Amino acid sequence: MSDMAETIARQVDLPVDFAVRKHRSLWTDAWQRLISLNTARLGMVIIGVLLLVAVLAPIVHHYDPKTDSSLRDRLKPPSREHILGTDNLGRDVVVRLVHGARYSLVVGIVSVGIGLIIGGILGMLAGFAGGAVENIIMRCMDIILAFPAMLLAIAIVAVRGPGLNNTMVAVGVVFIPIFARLARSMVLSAKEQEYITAATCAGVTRLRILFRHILPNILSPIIVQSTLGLGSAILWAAGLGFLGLGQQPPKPEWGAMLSDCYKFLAKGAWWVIIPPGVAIMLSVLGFNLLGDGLRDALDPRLAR
Amino acid sequence: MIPTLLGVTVLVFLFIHLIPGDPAIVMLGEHAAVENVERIREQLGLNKPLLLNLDAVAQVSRGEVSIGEGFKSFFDSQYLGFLGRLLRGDLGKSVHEHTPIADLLKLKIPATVELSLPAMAFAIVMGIPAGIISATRRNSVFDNVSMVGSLVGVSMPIFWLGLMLIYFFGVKLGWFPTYGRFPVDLSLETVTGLYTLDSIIAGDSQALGLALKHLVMPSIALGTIPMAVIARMTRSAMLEVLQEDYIRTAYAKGLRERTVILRHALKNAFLPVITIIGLQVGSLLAGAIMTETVFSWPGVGKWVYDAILARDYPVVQVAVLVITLVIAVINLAVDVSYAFLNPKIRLE
Repeated sequence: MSDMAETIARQVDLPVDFAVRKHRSLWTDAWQRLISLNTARLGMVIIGVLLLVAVLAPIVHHYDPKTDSSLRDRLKPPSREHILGTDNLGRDVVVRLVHGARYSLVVGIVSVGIGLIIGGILGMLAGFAGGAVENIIMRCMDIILAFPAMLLAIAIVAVRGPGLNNTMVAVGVVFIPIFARLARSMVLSAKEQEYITAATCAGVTRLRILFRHILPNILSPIIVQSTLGLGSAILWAAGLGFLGLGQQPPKPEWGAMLSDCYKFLAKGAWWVIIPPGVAIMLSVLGFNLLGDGLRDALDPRLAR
Repeated sequence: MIPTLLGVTVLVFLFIHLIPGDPAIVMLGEHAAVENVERIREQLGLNKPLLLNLDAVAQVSRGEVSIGEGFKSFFDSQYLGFLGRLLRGDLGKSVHEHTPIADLLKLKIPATVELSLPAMAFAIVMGIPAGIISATRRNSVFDNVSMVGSLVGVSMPIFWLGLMLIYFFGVKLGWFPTYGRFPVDLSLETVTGLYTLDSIIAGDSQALGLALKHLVMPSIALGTIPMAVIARMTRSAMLEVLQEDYIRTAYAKGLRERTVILRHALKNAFLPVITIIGLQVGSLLAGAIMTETVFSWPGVGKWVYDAILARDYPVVQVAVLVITLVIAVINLAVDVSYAFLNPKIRLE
């Protein structure tokens, strides 16, 4: 069989590899391209570690932030006992760092989820329906987009009250117009394709066209945007935590850890400040690297 | 543009109504005196209908009030009152300080301007050349280092960068002061509110040095993320342009590399870079909240933060509105500058 394919390939002047190579789906193809990128691999490793830590920490080790303080060990520099020292209430920095991972991850996933579902559906509706519906939806999105992202999130949490739930809602709201715009523009260009005309001619209902024919074709930019969004969400949530508007102490959210301790920097207590910041930076970096990699992998035309 | 801005005012207006419970009581605390609560309710107009007074229509139709009066009271609503006051330049009063917000704002804006301008200048002066060199020496050590650096830069929490600068250059090395705009025990005669400019006007070189020293760390902290974004954008825009035929032509006719890159390539790569610089101003002003808080810089950002903690919602409302409007104007300016920079648009 492959002999024949090879012969045919030679006859029509195609690269041999083109005819001989095994059939691969688009997704397998994208995966192959993704793991061939060093940066994307690094991103996946970072996210993998973050996921493992976030999931395993509460299973392996029970942590109660309320009873953890020990005033005798306040602000101790790194030692064999406490690898990264202790904070202003004598709590081990490593333990708190490890247990803080899940807050960042949960905020990221939930808030991107809110933005993706609400924004995605609004954008698809706008792009597909057109006319007045599109106008009303997109004008509303423009209004939200006029606010700088971080300021909008701060404002929402400021009025709704501090806490993790409001942080997730606030960051989610920020994402809604971003996903709506993306989904709309993708639907607009997908709508003009011939396979949609074909589906319409075949009598497929509009809703089915939207979800079965258009959605799969606009998925890849949305996946890229979601991955990059996870990074931004973690960054914004840490900012809210730092301003005292996010997860409330004594829970070990990374931004809140920084906000608890930054006053002690003047005393030279670097070990309470550097580790949480590095943790935030690495997680965000992981999602940014993976997002960039996914963009190159899912849309090979963009690869430069 | 105009409908969007009106929408922004509606959203900012509704802001007070997102507060769970009675806004007046939330702002003053549960044990506030009844007359104070009533005063705040009156001041914010919370007793009036939200958007339009629909009762007026019913009253007129029942013949209870004359058409003229009904027409007037139809528009006597919280939102239209808010909008009317804004248009007259009346920004309301701070709940706790009893000072007109407009006066406070006038005090705070120069501080934020003085911080933002060097931050933006730092971002542009470092970011654009880094992007150009990265693009022309693609895959070189410089390219790799600066691109990894800019990725790290956009992944870093801005307040944490500020803390790191404070630790290394303030606490460890003692080069720069770690908070404020000027030594607390010294005073400076203010004319413009920009301390650097004021000290130049006063001819006081010592004050100028002090003001500049206070500026270094906050403006680097604030400018780092925009710098990273600008560098990445410049690089990718340059890479695209460098593949064009006219660049090859320019090389082929023997122009020096400098001329090709600066006169032929950069000019054409500049449009997306200008857009991204305009967008960065927005994130800069939002980032000012973090930076000013970390460095105790008495600008608009710190003011918003303090107002949030004090539950002084009228202040938060006005500050959010002002920042958003400034950004909208800057984005409009960027769009207009397109027409000057791009003859294609100008001719259309």
